[in-house]
Amino acid sequence: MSAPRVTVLDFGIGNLYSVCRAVEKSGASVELVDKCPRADQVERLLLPGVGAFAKCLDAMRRYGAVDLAREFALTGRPLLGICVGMQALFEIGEEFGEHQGIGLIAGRVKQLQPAAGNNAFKLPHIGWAPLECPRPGRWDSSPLRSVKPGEFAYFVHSYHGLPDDPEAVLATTTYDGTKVTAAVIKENVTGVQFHPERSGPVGLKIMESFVHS
Amino acid sequence: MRPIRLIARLDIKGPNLIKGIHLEGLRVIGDPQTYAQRYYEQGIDEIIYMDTVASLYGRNNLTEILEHTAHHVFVPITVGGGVRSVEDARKLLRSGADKVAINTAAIARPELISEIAEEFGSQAVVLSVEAKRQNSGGWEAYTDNGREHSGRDVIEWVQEAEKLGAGELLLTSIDQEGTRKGFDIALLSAISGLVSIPVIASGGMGSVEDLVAAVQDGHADAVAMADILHYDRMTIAEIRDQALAANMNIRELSI
Repeated sequence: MSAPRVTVLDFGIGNLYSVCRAVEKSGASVELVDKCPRADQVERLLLPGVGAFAKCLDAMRRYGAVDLAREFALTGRPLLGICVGMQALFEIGEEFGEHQGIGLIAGRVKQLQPAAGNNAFKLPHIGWAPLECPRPGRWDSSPLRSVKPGEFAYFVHSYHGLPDDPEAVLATTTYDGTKVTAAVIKENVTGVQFHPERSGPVGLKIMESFVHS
Repeated sequence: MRPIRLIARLDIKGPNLIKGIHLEGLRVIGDPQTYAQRYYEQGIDEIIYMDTVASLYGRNNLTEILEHTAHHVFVPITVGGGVRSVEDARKLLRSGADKVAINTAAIARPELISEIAEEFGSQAVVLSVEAKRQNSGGWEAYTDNGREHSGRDVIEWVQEAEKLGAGELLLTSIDQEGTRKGFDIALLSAISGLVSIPVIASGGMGSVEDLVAAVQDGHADAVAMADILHYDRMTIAEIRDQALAANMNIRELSI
């Protein structure tokens, strides 16, 4: 049997070198494409993203990634959004005004807010934080299936996605008293706010599960 | 309590990992990739690669070392030394770096901070400051790996750099560097109180007590260590265990 194949979209934003190395380390072959592929050419889709929401979505639109992601989601094959690639899955982003996202997950991307009484809240949230599971068994058959609640992942962000349907929340973390959406899921579409490619062995476990789902 | 990051700092000269005292008298330790991979496997939170002679020779040699490292190391990597332009930064970020650290070129032309931040985001820009205590009080920023005076006052410089878009400060005390006598706590606490971006304490870690002091008294957000790891005085696991015992909020590796 040939190795699973992951297509990483390169729409000109951000550093994809480490994402690609992590995919390879997870036992898949990686295809980094600077021209938008057709949905039927893609086995597993990885949607990266960094920077401001609007700038990232503009780059995705020019490239064709928004239409591709919508079409690909319908195939039932696995899609993983990372960081702003996860935020892009939502309907609306609120960074520097309101902007349309891809719309695969109903809800909005909002700035992290300090918990009541916290006057020393710092953004961006940079660093390692433990992944919390909303309820036992929630991670079964998701890309987080081999992670143990409480294991740490690496985050760099100031915004997070808030799904309308609380069932779409796959994982949370807590940053300085503030509840943070760490991962979302809707059927075959998963998004992680943290960087699995920078989260050590825990991140690689998540990549492996994605690659072999 | 704020989460604290433990960072391995690897100073590099040519193909070698090196270590000095006060950033001078450099000794060859070994192959940087071997050490970076070992620290990753032992559970370090981040890696810093610093090319110590890049500014001097006007070059950056780290791309190849970086690309190899990225095959084996899956935690954030910061690279500094000889970054003079947006293009230099792009090359490093495309080769597996998550952040670039800049010092000499930023002092020569502070707008470089904004240019890199606008292109790649503030989170990718680490201002590296080499601070030397002054007899008159305060600290002067040095360049070229602690070789040259800049005439810039550190307190003033870091505030300007934050406004220009630096996302993080790597604050190295030249006085403490390589001495194993602890961080410059006065420097750390002076700076941490002035900026709202994360501050990485660097230079002088000889024990976990030093780490605790940097965090509790110096209000550092992260601690960079070199000598203590390179000379195998402590393993990362030992450092983690002792830091946890001292109530430091750090990543737990096994649960």
